[in-house]
Amino acid sequence: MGGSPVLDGTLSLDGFNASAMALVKRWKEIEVSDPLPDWTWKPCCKMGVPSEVEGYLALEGVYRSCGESQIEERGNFDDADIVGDDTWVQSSSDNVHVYDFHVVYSFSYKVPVLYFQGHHAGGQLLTLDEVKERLPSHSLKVLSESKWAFITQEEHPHLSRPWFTLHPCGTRDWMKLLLEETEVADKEQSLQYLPAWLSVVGQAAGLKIPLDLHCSS
Amino acid sequence: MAGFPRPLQVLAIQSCAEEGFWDALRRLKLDVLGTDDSPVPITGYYTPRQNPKVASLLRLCPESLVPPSASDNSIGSRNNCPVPGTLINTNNMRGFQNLDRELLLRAEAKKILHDIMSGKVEENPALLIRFLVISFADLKNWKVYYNVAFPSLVFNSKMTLLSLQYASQVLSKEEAASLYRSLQEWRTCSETTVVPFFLISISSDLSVSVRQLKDWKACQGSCQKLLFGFYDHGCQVIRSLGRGNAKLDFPGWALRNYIAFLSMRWKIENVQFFCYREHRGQPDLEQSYIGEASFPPPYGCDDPDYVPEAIGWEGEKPGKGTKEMKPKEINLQSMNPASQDEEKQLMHLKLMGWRHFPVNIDKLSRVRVLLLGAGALGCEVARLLMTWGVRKLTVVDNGYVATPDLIKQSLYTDNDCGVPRATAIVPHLKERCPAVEVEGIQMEIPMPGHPVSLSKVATMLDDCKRLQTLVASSDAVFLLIDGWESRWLPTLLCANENKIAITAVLGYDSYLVMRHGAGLGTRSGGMNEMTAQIEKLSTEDALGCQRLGCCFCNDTASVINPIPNGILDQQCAIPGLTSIASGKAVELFARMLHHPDEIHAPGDIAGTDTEHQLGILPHQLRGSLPKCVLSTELGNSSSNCTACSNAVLSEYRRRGLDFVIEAINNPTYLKDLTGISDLKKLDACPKMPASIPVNSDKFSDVRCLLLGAGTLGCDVARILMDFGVRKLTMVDSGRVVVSNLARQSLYTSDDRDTPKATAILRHLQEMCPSVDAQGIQMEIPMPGHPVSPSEAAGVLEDCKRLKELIASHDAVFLLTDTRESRWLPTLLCTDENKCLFALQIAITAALGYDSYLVMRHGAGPDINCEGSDVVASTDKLSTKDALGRQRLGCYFCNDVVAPVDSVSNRTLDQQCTVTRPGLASIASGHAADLFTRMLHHPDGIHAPGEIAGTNGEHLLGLLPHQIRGSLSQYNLLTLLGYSSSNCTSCSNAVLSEYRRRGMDFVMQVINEPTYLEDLTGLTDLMKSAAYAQVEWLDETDEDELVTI
Repeated sequence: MGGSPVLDGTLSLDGFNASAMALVKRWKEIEVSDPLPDWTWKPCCKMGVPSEVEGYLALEGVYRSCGESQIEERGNFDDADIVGDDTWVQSSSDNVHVYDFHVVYSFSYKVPVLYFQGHHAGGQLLTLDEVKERLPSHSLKVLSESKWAFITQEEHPHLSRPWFTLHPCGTRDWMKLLLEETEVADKEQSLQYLPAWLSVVGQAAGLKIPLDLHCSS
Repeated sequence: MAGFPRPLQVLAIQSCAEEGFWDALRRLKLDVLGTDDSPVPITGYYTPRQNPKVASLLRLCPESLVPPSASDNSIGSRNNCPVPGTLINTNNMRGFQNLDRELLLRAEAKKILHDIMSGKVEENPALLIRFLVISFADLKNWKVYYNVAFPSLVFNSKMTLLSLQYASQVLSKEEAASLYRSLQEWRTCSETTVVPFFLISISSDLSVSVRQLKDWKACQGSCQKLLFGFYDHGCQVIRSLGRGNAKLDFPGWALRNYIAFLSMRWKIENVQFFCYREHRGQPDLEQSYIGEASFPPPYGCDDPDYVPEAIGWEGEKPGKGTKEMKPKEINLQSMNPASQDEEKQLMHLKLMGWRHFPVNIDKLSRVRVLLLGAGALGCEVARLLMTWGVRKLTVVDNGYVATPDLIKQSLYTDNDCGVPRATAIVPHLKERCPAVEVEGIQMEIPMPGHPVSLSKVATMLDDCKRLQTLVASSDAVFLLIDGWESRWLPTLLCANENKIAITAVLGYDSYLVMRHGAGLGTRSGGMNEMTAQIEKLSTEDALGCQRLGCCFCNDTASVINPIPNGILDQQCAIPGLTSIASGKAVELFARMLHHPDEIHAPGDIAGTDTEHQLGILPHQLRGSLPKCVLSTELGNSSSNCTACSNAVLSEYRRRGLDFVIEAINNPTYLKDLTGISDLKKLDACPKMPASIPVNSDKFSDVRCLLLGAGTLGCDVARILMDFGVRKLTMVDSGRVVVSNLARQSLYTSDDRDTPKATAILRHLQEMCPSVDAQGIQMEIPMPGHPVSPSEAAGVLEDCKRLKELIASHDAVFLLTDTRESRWLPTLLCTDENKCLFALQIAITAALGYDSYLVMRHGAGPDINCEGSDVVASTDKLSTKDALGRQRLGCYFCNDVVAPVDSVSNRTLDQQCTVTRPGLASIASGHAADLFTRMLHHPDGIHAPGEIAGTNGEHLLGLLPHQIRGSLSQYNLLTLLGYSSSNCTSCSNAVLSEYRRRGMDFVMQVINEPTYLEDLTGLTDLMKSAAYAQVEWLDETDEDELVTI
């Protein structure tokens, strides 16, 4: 497993699985700067039976808010959507968005693909414009400057619902460049594939990946 | 913040019901639940606070709807702790609004109380966060309205907070470190991480362990200190105080039920609790609270019937109750836009399954249908097949689109003239349904007895082979070609391949639709076996039943059973006949496909009972428009049929195409083989009867007003144009949406979101540039739909406009959706004495969703007064019309209740008025036909109603008052009903009131639902009926009439 495919910028399915497991483990060990939850491995279900080999990485329930949560006393209606009484208070979640990130292996490109979606607290999906509006400036810079990084809406391969995705057409090329710079054994390289890849695509999707992730422990 | 003790205040929890959840509900509702609106168990996903700035939400995702036992997801993961919930999805908006939110919340709270008292909570602590979702999924408009509640018990004793501090401030360093490790352990173990309530025991040596609630008894003695921990979703919040802000922090919502549980079940009055929060996936002791609350056990809760008070509706303003609570709204439009179109188109078929019979959409989408002929019948059949969900079509035709055909052949437009029909039809089908796979093949079908020159034999042979392959690769074949002989080869091939074949034949004013019988079983094995099989060919099919005939079988006995009025070019048929025949042909096809025996199904005769949900499956249908009759016939395969008899089939199997070539080149060959007189005899069929004096001027001058431009509107407009009507005004308030495309014959995908009134205009002009059409976008005012004072002016304007429109037109067609929208036009027409045709497709429990009613309203009452004294004239209104005949009834004459708002109470399938595809075509054909006959009747609107079977003197045929037909039973009735004196729209009481008060009267009717009933005496009638214990069953059926 692992082996030569890595050097041309692609990843085998076995390599993807191994690298994903390593990432799940490593993620728990490191200090994550953003308040991010854990990555989990989700096996694909075929006819209700979870597959042994096929699955995807998921980072679900990433909360992002614009501004602080607010609360307001009863009677003060200047900002009337937040209220409370002597048993309970309500805070506004209007500014809260919840994101899910999935990393899925693409058999046609032989590379991992990032899928993501965001919800308003009310459940409505974020549109691409709304997503972009909230991306940090460096993400927007990546999106506008790199020709490989453009977000499209496509059907999630395992969930058959529309998710945003970073198109994988350029992944192989820049991964090849990225991996050439590192000098590690083949096997190690295969395991390092996902952290390296994630550190690049994460930027475009506003996902801050700690440096620790791809520094070998 | 005030000091201690103080009342316990908690932070409300909020839900995040994702679009994916509602999309999953949409599917479940359409495919499984149907009209069932009973509560559904669902799963929500709860998580401790992740982000110090953001409170966690309870998530509802697509997996939430999967029954807990059937999925691994119900086990959850560390950030997805499954929590049980209940979903109540109502069938309509009114049902949603009428739900008693207070009561529902208390009922859920009672479940929690029960779980507390019975000890279930110890086993599954997540029961404490049980939640409730109420919703109305408006699938027609792709919107969901919903509310979520997290019931929290409220008792007569209060919860008091005694202390509250962050854990890092309370615990010693050693304790904190030990707690941190134990919590990490709890959160990494997949078994415990999903349990949101737990125990923390701190022993005297400062070591801390985290344990399950059910271990409480075991913990008690061994430890020094016991904390009751739970996952806290909340975070620090900012309270804005006049100038400047203050940071506040409250324990999470789950604490209240937790304390109630501890106090009532375990009798712990002073609860030491721990609010667990996370930061970066690790325990955050800096911001996790440790506190103490006291709660004396409440009294009076032991009674099993006790229903506790509760709070917890999300979005409820404290102290304002549920009255002002607004439903949350979510738009599903963004879910998968591409495949959504296809789903919208199939929604009608799915909705049919709610009440009528489950349509096998899967099967329909898989069958490949071969259409031979793309003329008038071909266009109509192709469109209707798509409405049924057929997605694989092959169209074979040899002709070209010509200008005069445009009106008849519903799919083509001006731009197609001169283009082969097989090519032109493809884009027109695609623009109505992008998912359809359609192939057009331009090809002549070889005909027997038409010898070809040697040079053309090769081409013909190719054509034969091609047809052979096409038939073999299709599942069903429609024979819709003009020429009779050209049906021979396809019939033979279908009989040989045992394929479903359906023939539609048009006469001048009558039609024949039939399905061919099954073939002789399948070919198999090598040559030896084959010859052996041929010997054994019998008149029985594979199931051992007598084979049904093909369209050639009857012609051997054509003396007894002639083809109705001969076969003519489709162009010569009465307009409207095409719609009716193709509607029936497609219906026959769909029914056959759903029959367990498919092609082998025996032929039913109308009037016989059938177990099949779709209705009877006849072999042949013959109908005649002027006589208003429809008959079902049964004919078995003839032993000397030229196309499906054993002699012919065995010869074909032996010699293959050689045999076909010989039949084509040698006119007497088939005759000799089968022993019948002559195939060519068919050409000698009776010609068109002496031409009927159709007054084309009358048609081009008459001004028709079509109210409603939906399925019926499109079809009626087309057929009227075909009759030569050139002055059309269409009124509709809607816009074209995707689901309209398959059913409403004139619209294409370019029209999406265009007002129907505009779109229909464009298409009519495309078909016939000389048409003088007008489209008006307007809502028809409806009685029993009260309007607010601000809207009143607009409604009044609409009423006046409608009055002007009706006054300026000669005939009015009522083609609207709802019963109540027909009231005002009926009244106005009666007043103006205009021809009015009401079309409806009735959905009643008794009749099914597949029957239609076409009626002409009676003439208005006579006014025996020349003077201008209005009061005098209204007094003299009689039940007779101007010719002194008894007035015919209107649409409302049979009803005993006045039209009221019938929309908001309906379930989705009723709102979409689910009907069988093809029903509208048939009804429109009859309506247009009724109209022309009335137009040519010397008495016009005053013509008396005739009943089928009596001899109509008029040349065009019978002029009935009402035509009622049912698709499933294949019957057609002509009915006659006189105007009722209690009628809510054409009785003298109503008319004279309208003449006296004009629009004031109309506005009162619109605003007061019961006014009409009082006026016409229906209220008294109903009272006396109730008193006399009369069974009103028949009439109540009538109330449920739903129209399209």
